[in-house]
Amino acid sequence: MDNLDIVAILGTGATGFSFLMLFVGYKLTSDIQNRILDTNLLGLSPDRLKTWEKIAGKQINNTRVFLIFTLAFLIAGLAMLAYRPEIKVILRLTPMETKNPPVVYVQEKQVLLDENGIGMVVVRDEHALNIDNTTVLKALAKLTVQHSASAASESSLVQKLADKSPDSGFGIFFSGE
Amino acid sequence: MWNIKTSPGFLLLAMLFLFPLLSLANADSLNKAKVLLDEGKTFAAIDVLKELLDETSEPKKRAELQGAIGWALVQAREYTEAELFLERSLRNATEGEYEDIRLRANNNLGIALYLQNKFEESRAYFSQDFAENSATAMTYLKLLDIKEKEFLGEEALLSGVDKRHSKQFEEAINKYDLALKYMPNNPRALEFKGYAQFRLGRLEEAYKTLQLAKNAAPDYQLTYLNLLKVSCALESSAKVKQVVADSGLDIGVYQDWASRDAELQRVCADNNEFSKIIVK
Repeated sequence: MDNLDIVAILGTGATGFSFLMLFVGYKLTSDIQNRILDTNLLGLSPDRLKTWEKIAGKQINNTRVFLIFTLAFLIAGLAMLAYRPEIKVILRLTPMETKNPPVVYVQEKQVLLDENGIGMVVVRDEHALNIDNTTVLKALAKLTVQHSASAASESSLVQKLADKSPDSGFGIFFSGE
Repeated sequence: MWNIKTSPGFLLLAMLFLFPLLSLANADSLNKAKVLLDEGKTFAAIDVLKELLDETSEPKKRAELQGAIGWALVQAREYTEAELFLERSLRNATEGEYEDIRLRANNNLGIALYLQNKFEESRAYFSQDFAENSATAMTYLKLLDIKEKEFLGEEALLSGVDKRHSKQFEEAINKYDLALKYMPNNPRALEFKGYAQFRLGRLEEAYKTLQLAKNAAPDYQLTYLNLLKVSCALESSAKVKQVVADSGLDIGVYQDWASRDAELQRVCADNNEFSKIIVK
């Protein structure tokens, strides 16, 4: 009992609680039974022997009832652990961009999103929810490339314009006039 | 006793020899910088010009060098440092009254700011009195007008999209109208405006706006998606049929939209024409 981490066991919920009850019950009945069984029956009078038999019989019954009850509790707890309820989750992705919408999958199944980015997903424990932003990232990468090309092109045109002008760019600086 | 070191004649002689030598060294560095610039090694050329600047004390030459370094930095798209050198060149040229250098530094500063889309600051340089007859300044003032319109139009459009995301459709329409003022007949602005009108339930207006968007850019697919939604909301099978016919899109595109777009599914759920198209 001293080596048991009670807080950790209770942290597992109903299963842990029933296990602890089972364990405590076993210890208590075991202690009482030991005391009853340690009695020297040879030295007892017939009346006291009958009383001893009654006590021992009741104790055994109590132990049986307690064990059955706790075992039922333990089985119920284990069943609850094994049972994974379905949870409905309302998911909202913002901002929702029709042209480059994010794609949501629950266990490989695509979730339908409305114009406000709202969709409903049904999940269980350990189900994977995957939000795929590939479309928007691809569009962003394309725009970045376009912007870079436009900036380079604009800069190049500005240089060409300046090369032909005396009042901008290097002007007459390199001609030594 | 005659001392060779303090003789004025000797000093004059030394200066006569030294100046041409220094000029030759300067010309050599300038040539080197020019070659490097022509080879596209802008940063190496900037280093050579900076060394030359350190060795130069003549104010006019310094103003010229600062201007050249500034322009080389503009070429390298190092705008912050470019502005520093060009501002120094402009200040020194103004103080020394070197008109050509001043005008060049002023115009180059305007160009550096133009390239960074700093319209007001750029316009301020090109609008200086002494730049009044500069062909470069006049050209860039015109370019600034064109670029600024495009920029402000796009800004208004993005602002409208922001409003749409927060479901402020009325405000979004105002922004799209502003965008259309800067960029008349812009297909994206028209398409966005049409969709916002649809969300506000102004279906006839939305249909007209989306028709304008379609005419402005007949290949833009999302216009047809929104036209389809509006046609369904108007409960007009004829319009649905017309949209599909006008778009020239493959039926698969509509089927794909129908599988992914919950709004389309909802709006067109009761439209027989749409159902027929999807079933095909």
